[in-house]
This record gives sequence, structure tokens and C-alpha cells, in this order.
Amino acid sequence: MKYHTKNYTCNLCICIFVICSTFILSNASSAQDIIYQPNYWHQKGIWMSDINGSNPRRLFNPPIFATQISIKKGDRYILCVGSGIKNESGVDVYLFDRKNLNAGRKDLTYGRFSNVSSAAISQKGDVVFSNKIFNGIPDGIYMIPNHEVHATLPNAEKLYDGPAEYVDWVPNGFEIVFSNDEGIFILDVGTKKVSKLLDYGYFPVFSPDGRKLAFFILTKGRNNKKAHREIGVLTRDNPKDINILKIDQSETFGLYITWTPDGKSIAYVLAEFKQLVLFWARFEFTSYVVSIEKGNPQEILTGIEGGAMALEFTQKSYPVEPESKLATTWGQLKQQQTIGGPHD
Amino acid sequence: MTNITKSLIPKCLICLILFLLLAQVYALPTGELIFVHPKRSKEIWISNTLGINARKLFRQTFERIDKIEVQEDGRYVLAVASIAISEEQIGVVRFVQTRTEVFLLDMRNPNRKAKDLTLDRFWSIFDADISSKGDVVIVATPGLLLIKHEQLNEPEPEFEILLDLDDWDINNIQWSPDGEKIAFNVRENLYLYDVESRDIFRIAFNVRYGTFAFSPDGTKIAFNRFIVKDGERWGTGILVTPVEPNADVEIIHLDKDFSYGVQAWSPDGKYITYASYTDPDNIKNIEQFRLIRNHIIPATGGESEQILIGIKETVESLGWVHQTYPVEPGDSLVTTWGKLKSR
Repeated sequence: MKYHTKNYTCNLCICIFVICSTFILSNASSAQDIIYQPNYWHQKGIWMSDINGSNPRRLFNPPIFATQISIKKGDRYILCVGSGIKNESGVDVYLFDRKNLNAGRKDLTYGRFSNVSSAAISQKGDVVFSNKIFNGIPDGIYMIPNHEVHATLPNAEKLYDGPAEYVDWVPNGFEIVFSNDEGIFILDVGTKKVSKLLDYGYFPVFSPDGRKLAFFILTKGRNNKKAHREIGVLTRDNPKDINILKIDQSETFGLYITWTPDGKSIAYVLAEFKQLVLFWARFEFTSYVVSIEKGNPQEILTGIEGGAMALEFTQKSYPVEPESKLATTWGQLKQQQTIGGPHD
Repeated sequence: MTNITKSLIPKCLICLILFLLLAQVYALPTGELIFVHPKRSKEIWISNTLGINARKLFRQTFERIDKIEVQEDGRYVLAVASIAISEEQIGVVRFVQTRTEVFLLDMRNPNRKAKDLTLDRFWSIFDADISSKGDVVIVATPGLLLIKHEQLNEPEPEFEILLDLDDWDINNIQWSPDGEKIAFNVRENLYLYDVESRDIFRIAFNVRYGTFAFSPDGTKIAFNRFIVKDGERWGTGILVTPVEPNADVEIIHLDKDFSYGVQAWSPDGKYITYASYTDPDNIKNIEQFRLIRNHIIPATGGESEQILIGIKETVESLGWVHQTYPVEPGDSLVTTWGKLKSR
């Protein structure tokens, strides 16, 4: 009897522990939802999932294919760099309103800057982007101030004249970090002064507190050694001291990098060439999270077939459809179209 | 006057000034542009001049649309377009045999099927236009053909040959706004033909690309000419000339290494639209990039302004109408979110 009671108590404890653990785990995963662009060979639209990729659901289906995502944290806007689908040419910056995803895309650049390379939205809602003219000539970095974002054709101010590939806001909202073939630079929005941070590295992204900078490093193969990629992390106080995080797979290339919301880890996407289908290169994408303190990369979004090409973390889940509304009037839609609603 | 009325007047004035100021922000030319979508050459679209509310105008699609002409002050759009007469799918490749015809589309009934005016009766069709009176003129083998407006509703519209192609190697045509004369080009010469009197006189020479457009009052015509400056080939300029025999011409727009195709005159007569092209190697900066695609220029010359920005590609064939058309389909005032999502 005593043995049975002990056994029963033990089982009960295990059950409570399992239930509690599940509850804690599910909360943890829901707090770290990821918005991502799936592999274009597998899915269309912008999707959302927990960190494991176990509950993927389409957030919305914009008529674009996104190569970069930027979320105005704590607010409602998702910024995407993308090319239009259905033979639409050019790469532009599009803004989506999470509270009204069915309103469609708000095209901020409308092909006026040829091909946009990269873009980001600041906490204040200012948008920055870099571009190249269609035959590959680098142009520069432009800013669309937040008060222009909702204009029919937003005006953009040129901040920097020269080559710029990846751009991101420094969280203070007054500086921009960008990279080109010559390294990583900081651009002061007010003075337009550019200062070099590093002679190498690409895809620089600042941590949410603005104190650390993560970036990819490409080391070209020499003396029978294969080319390899690494992630570098530096602090703004001591930019010479670079913490190197190794990427294991040498056949892949670093496609995307971002910080987790707590600023303790970096998420990144590696792309691997699979095959040529007609004239199209087919890639598979694998995403990881690596702690900047402990290293040890962990694969994420494992449940997503083909992987994600671009991803950003969010804290909230959003309904796909506007709540308590089953229909809209054409008049309302027309109003939305004037601010960049559905394209067709 | 009561005190309330007195206090309201300045407020109303302020509101009016604010409204006018805001309205000035986008003081774009009015009206709408009807065009062949550059990426969806099977479809005819309509948009404001910025190109940001672009939408498909007609339900009817074609295999390929070569050109459209919009009836001045009217309801019809004429399309020189190909239709598929047979098709075969071998693997991923689709083989299509097409036939080019002239089709009439009705803007008041955009869901109605296009009417085939030529019905496989001509060996080849080069161009067509519809006048403000509704008369249709077609350049085809055997010649310059006229289908009178009263024939448009007939199952097989009758035509008369105005000019023989053996005598006149006509490429492009355009009705004058009064619907009584036809401008056409033969190689690099631009002529005017009076349908009633059958008189012909030359308006201009050295005309490039065969694209030209009448001013709405019919007194002037805009066209392209290759310009040589100081012995150097510059590009194709936009020129305007009075509609008189061998009159003086005025260059209203020219950029080095760029070519232009005049497309239409705005209904108010203030602007001329054109498509602009250059070799990609000539584009060295964003300012030069912005010179390509579709633009308007004041008809008297001046600064050009880009139009159809939202289309992101150069529109090759367009017409400009001063009336606007609703965005929503005429038969439904409400749509479901599900339907919207599926779009």
C-alpha cells in the first residue's frame, strides 16, 4: 500500500511536471514567433510560425516575393524588399499594415529607384533603402521620412551617393549601418557623414539595444582550403574586438541574419544550391539560432519544407482576416487602393 | 449678419485655403490613360496618369495586342490584336498559330466580347484608328480602308479602299480630331489626306518611327525626328508643327542618346505623352534612369515629368481620355474578404 501510494504520488508529480513544462514551452514558443518568406519553390506569401516551424500558417499573401523583411517593433508595420509576382519587374520596397493586411501592399518606391537592394524601417517609422540602377550601377542610400510613408508617391531623400548593399537602422534612429565590397560603414542621418567600421563583412545588423553588431564574414578559399563563412559580432564600444561564430557547412552561403528579440542570440539563414531547373537555380534554406555567449548553433524552423529565405522575430500573433468583418465595400477598397492597395 | 455667421466665414476660408493647398500637392494632369499592359500584352488596362490605380479595363483578352486607339470623346477602343486560331502543347512549350485582326471594344460595356471588324478578310494588318464620328480606318493589304460608323453594327462591316498600298506604302495612320482627315506616314514623310475631297499634302519629312499625334483642336501635330547637332547624332527629338503644307517645325524635347515615341496629346491640349528609350549602357546614374519610360511634356516645351510610374515598365501603346471610369465592377458593390484574398 505504501509502495502504491508512493508510486501514485510519483506519477502524479511527473504528470504535473509534464503539463507545466508543456505550458511553459508553448508559451515560450508563442513569444518567439517568426515571420518569414518561405522557399519560393514550396510556398507563396508571408508566413508565420513558432521557432520550430511546427505551426506554420500563412499570415498574408502579398503579390510580391520578399527577399528581406523588417518589422517596426512594437508597432504594426512590416516592411519587405521584394519583386512583384506575375512578371512584374524590378525590386521595390513595400509596406504592409498588420492591422489591415487585406488592404494590400503600399509600394514605397514604385520602380523609381530601379532595383532596391536592401531596406529597413526604424522605430519612428522612417524607411531607409539602398539601390542599384538596373544594369548593376550602384546608386546610394535613400531615406523616406515617416511623414512621407503614407503619401501617394513618397518622397525620398538621398543620404549617401555611392555603393551600398545591405542597410539597417541603428536602433537610436539617427544612424544607419551599411555594407559594400569595402566593408561596413556607419552613416549619420543628420550630418550625412560616413565613417568606416570594418574593412570586411556584409549584412550588418544591430542588436535591439544598439550595442552589438552582427555580420557575415566571407573568407575566400586559398591554398586548397575551401571558402568558409563566419558570423562576426562586435560591440560599438570596442569594435576591434570581434567575436567570431563559426558556420560549419562550407558549401552554403550566408543569406540572411537577424537578432532574437532578447538580443542574446543571432538567427541566420544559410542557402545551399541544389539543382538547376530549366534556367532557375533551386536552393534549399536552413535557419539557425546561435547564442553569442555560448555559440552552439541550433537549427530552427525545422518543420518548414524548403526552409525560409528571410525571417524576423515578432512578439505577437495576428489574425489573417480583419476581426468581425466578413465583407468590405468597393468604396473602402478604392480608398485603400489610393494608398497602395491591391495591385490588380 | 449674425455673430455665428461672422465667425464661420474666416473658418470656412481657412478650410478652403487648406483644401486648395492640399489639392496642389498632386496637381497631376487629369483624365485617365488606357493602355496595353507592358507585361500582360494580352490585356487592356486603365489608370490615372500616375499609374497607381491601374486595373484591367476589358474582360476580353487577346493572344497579343499590337496597338490600341481610343476614340476621342467617345466610347470605343480599337485594338489591332492577334487571336489564337490553333494551339498545341508539347511538353512545357506552347505552340500557337495566330491571326491579326482589328477589334472594337466598348468602354460602356467592358465585359462584352470584342467585335471583330476585319474577319480574316485581309492578308496583313498594320494599323487602325477610329475617328470621333466612329469611322474606322485600317491600313492593310490591299490599302487604306474605311469602315463607316454605320457599318460597325453589321455582322460583316463593309469597307471601301481609299488609297492603294501599291501607290502609297503607308505604315501608320491617325484621324484628325474632327474626323475628316487622316494623317499617315509613308517611309519618312508625314501626309494629310482629306477623306471628302481626297486631297493629299505633305506635313513633314524626316519623320521617325511613324508615331504622331494631333493636338485636340487639330491645328498641330507632334512627331519624332532624328536630330543631328553640330554634325553629331544626338537622338530622336519630339517636334511640333502646324498642320499646313511643309510648315516650320519646333523641337520641344531632346536628350542626347535618347529616343522618343510620341503617343498622345492630353485632352486639354496642354501636354504630349511620349515613351522614352535608350541603350542601357547610356544610363550611368539615377537621373538618366528616370529619363526612360513614359513621360509628359508641356506641348510648348519645358520640363518633362514621368507618368505611369506604378506600371514600372514602358507602355508602348496608350490613349488619353478626360473622363474617369469607376474602379469597381459595375455589377457588384460589395466583395467578400475571401474573394479579395484569392486575388
